[in-house]
Amino acid sequence: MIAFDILLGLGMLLAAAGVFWSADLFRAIVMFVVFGVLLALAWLRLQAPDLALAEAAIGAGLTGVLLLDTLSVLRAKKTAAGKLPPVDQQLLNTFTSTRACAAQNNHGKGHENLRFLAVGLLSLGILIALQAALFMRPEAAVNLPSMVAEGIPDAGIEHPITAVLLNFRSYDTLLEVAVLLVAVIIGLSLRIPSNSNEQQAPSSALIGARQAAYAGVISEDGGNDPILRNFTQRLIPLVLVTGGYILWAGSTMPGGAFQAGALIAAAGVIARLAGYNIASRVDQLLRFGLVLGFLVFLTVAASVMFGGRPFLNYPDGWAGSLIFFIEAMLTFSIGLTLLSLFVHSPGDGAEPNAKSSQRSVKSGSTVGSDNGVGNRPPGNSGKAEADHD
Amino acid sequence: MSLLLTIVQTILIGTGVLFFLVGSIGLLRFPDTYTRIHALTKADNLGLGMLVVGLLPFANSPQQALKILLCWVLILAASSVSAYLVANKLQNEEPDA
Amino acid sequence: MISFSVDFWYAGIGAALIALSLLAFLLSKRLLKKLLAFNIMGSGVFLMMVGMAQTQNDGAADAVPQALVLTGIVVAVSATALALVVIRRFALASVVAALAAENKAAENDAAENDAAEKNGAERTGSDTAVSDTTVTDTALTDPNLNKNGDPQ
Repeated sequence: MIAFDILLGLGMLLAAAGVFWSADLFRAIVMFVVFGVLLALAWLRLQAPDLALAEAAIGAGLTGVLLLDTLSVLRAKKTAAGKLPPVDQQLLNTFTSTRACAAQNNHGKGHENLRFLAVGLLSLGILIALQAALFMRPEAAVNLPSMVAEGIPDAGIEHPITAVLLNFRSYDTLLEVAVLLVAVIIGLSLRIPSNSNEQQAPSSALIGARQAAYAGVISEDGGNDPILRNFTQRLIPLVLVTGGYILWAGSTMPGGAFQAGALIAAAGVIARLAGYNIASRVDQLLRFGLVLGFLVFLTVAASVMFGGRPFLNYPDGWAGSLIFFIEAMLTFSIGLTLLSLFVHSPGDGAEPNAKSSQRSVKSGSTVGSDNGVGNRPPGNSGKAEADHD
Repeated sequence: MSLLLTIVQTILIGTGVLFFLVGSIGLLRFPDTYTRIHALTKADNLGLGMLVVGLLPFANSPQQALKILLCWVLILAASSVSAYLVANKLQNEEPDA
Repeated sequence: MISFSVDFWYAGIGAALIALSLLAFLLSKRLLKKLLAFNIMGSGVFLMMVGMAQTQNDGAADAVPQALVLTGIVVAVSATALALVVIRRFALASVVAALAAENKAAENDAAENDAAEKNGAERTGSDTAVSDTTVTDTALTDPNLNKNGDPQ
């Protein structure tokens, strides 16, 4: 297995280098997803199946979709094919050429070289310092695994990681959920104030136009595509059931609220990509769902104080059920949080008019001159133009 | 008997991995999107089937075997739908191709 | 100590990832790339945390760092999502700014003025360094956009 570890480690480094190397952002994101998958394998080799589950669902899946979606919004046109620099170029060359194409305001060449040198030295220094720290590590002061093993019988839950998350270090988890809540609140308030009740909310033409921008991920008329729709309808219940199973499994084996929440978010994202705009239809419920997990967690944590127990100290015999209850609510909230950070991003339906008019200009008035983008089906652009009359 | 089983499993898994390898080479080497999808989905689906058949005897319990089969069905469905979507998108963009 | 240990190997890979992504983070001028680099840096830190802890425990799985990394992964994805929201908002704001410049230029109705403003608009777009040329393309060709795309 040593050979596998070495290959996997080097593969991760290569994938990371590929992310930074690629001049094309689409390619960089694909490399990032590859990196996520390799990292999930590395977690398995490190005997951390929970982390592998989370990384596969979140790092590789959800983050990749988020990034691709943002890229498609930013470009609002099909990713230009090719024109990548040869991969075997020197690292230095690639970085400078990338920068040359990214930023038109070139300063002097000497200035750039100096900058590269300084940053390179800094990175090298950090690499050496980190490796030195690894080799000169001290002995462990406390034996955490044995402490966890001692505490498990009283924790009310058998799986050590869930026990750490929701019993031994539940403070951390409570505050982490609060961080998620803050993130989603900021995300929601940065939405473009959509005059959402304005007649033309998400018309089908608009959804079509949006989905055409999903650089090769989804078909143009995804919302009406029978195969995609049928597949999604069968897939989503399965994903939700799997999420429930992983939540339930979390008490005895790898699994738990975070992985299950990621799966639920993934189900929502799949639905959104296939043209089902669920989250926008239930705005009030969504807001309630976002705070539900944190609220329940905090209530349970504080209400034990009525019995004279310290904050977050579960009563004897109740720990298992309380933890499962909290976890179930957390799953729901984490799933909704991740989903609404995706669905309610600016540029995604919140300001549909800008997008559709952008597309209509591309497809209508500049046919032919705009390589590749001009020859999309005429029906689409016509509808999009009619949209904002 | 168990030796025979091991040999058969080794052959199945080895061939499956080989098909994945061929599919990946096709993905890297073929000139356009249609041929790439073709290489990826066909070769990988065959390789996947062989891996699943090869892994089934390893399952400790019927539940585990069912999980492997479920994975197989899901991957097949996902890969065919995504291949269809990519091809369809391409078709819409370049009707002549 | 010299003998190969899986945990130690991945901790070393994590350290290399941190250094590599620091390089990319500082050198890249595109926001999306910086975000990717930051994410990979985080993954490097996670690998180091778990690898180091398990090396110290002679390769036994250690639930405490694993649990902390699990929360870390979720926080990282929400931070990434938030950063993407901000980037999108930023790109949109640059469209609006470019449009405002465009409208002003049209009102001035002077050729030289017009050209200067357009250059200004282009610079606004490219300074954001996230939205290549499309944003400004649209801004310069689409008079409708202002009416609808302008956040009130």
